[in-house]
Amino acid sequence: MQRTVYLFGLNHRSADVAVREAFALSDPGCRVCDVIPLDEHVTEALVLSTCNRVEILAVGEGKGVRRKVLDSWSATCGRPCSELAPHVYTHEGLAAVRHLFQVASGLDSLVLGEPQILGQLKDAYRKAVDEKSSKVVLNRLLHKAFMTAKRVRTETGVASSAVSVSYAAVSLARRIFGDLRDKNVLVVGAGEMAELAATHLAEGQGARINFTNRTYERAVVLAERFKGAAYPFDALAQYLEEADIVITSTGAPEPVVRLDMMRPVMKKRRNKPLFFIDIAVPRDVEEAVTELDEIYLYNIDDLSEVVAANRAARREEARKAEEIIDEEAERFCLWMRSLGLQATIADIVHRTESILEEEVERTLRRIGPVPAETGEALRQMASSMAKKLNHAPVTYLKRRYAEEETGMRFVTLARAMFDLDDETVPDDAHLGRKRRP
Amino acid sequence: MGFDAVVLTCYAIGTLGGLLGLFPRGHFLRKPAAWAIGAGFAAHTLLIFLTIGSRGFALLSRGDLVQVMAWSLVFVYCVTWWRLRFPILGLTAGPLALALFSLSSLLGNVDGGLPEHMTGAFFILHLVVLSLNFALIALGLGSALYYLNLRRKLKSRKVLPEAGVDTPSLVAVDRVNKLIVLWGFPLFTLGLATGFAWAVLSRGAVVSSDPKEIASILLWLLYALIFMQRFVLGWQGKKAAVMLLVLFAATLCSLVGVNFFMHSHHNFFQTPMF
Repeated sequence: MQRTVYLFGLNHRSADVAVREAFALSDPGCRVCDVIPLDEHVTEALVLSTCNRVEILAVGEGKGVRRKVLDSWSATCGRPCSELAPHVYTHEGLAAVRHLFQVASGLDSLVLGEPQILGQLKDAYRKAVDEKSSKVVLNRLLHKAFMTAKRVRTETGVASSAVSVSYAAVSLARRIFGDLRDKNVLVVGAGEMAELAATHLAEGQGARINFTNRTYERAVVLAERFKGAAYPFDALAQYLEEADIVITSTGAPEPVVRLDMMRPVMKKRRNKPLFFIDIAVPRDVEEAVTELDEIYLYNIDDLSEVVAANRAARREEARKAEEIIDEEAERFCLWMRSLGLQATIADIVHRTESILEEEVERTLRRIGPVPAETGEALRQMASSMAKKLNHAPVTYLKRRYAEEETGMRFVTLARAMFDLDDETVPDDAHLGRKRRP
Repeated sequence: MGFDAVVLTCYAIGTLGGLLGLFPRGHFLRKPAAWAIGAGFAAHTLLIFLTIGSRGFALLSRGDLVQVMAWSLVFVYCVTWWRLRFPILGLTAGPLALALFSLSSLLGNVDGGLPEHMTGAFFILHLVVLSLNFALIALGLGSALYYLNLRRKLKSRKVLPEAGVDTPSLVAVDRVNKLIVLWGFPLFTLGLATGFAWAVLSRGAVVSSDPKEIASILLWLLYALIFMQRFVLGWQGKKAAVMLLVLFAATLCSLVGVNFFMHSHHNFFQTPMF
């Protein structure tokens, strides 16, 4: 029976957070083979456990794979299988490969195109390799998953734009200023979203964050948290001269930043660009300030539009990503089918015969016209040589394949030695390999 | 295939590839386009050396001089790319280099009219320096247009792609505009000074009523104004970008209007006056 790739999982769509918590496998001390003991039915396994999904990838054969995996999984979590089974989705063969590629590319994530899942998958794979539960098939499969995710990222825009308000604000700031390190950010007020944007700017981008608030003590508390400065609110105009990015979220009934305030400020700034992110409702920044040349203003509606447009764009890009995933999944399944012994023997014979035929024809062209019998004799000689050359390795392969534990390894080795797959990426080129001393 | 055909082909491939590379499905063409421009530049450099080597400065034709301008354009682009890594600047470099090189072929062997005793110094100081300046202004056209377009989108609060190599930030492009003026104004001043020095030595007068000289002085005054606005008054942003466009337009008027259509010793098609 041919080995198959299986995928069993829970995610944010199939199970609520209580079920996902109950059956999470995120304990660092939990080994893969404790969850899924390897035997003649399941020869390889990998466990991926994040806050939004738990998935088990297995390579095996036989009808009992699902039962075995679910029983082991639920036993590891100390819960009955009947609580787990209704929420688990199962994929097999091409469907399993497609699903894995979708997960790696962020297409199955809560936020479409998010990049964190790829890092989590790489960690899960590294663990499986260390624990030797990932072998020939999973090694190749995971490499293909990483390569597919990279293709999706570079060839489509599925991960290229901000899909949260606070990140959209940071993204726009980068469009204006580029590198945000050492940029001065002034937060006016103390709204939650303003803090979130400030957090993105401080942690991810290295900007300096300063605060001002009608309640000075509140500004001081925030400034201490972000290691910035706190300013008195009545000196706002003075600090606007130095800021590059201003995030406003005061909750005031009237705008606190007006055109007449900004004219002298921009003169003193010598038209250095100033970016306002007005998250407040009612708005804190008068719309008229945008008449001044180097002031850029985005309010909460504009940012929400940016996010909505980006989400729509990502969905459109996801269609292109699915095409890439289909293509790579088919390619992988073709390789799986070729892993069988007979297919490999046929490929070896074909490869040897092709090479010898080509050489015979080239020689005949070089030496010029010869009698037909001579040409025929040379071709028969080549055919005979091919058979004799192939006899030893093919016999050896058949004998070793009969050994259950290592048979597949010899098939894979033979495919690599004879270069039957025309692949340049070695099967286990995933981590830093130890070189021979 | 002659060297000039090789150069022309490489620039044409680079220009076409660069333009097609603007579209999402054409991204893969960008690297080959850059290589094509690079190969064209190498061949172009060799061609210029061979031309000077075989004919000497005195026998350089108008077409050869325009070729030097085209070479300067690509040279400045290569330096700018090396320092700033802005592939977007190649959008103007490629087409302009192709246009100038094609023009040089059209001009053929119209005599350059260079006095023999001044050819070496004149060639290097006047022509090359002014060619480099023109190349900078041509790049400034691309960067100023890009700046104004991005600024318009930000002002109108459009959805924009993330900042990246192909989508430099507003401030980064403004910095390029500033550098163009910083390097270009001294180059232009030097180019003019050498031209007037040559005029004194060859005809005994600094300035005449030659249209090119008058246009050049006006252009220098405009350049000086922009330089002062940038570095003394601290102008930046939209006004500075618009002034760069005005400078390019004025330079083009001077180059095309005088060198093609007016009676002047700088006219590409007339026989020399000296």
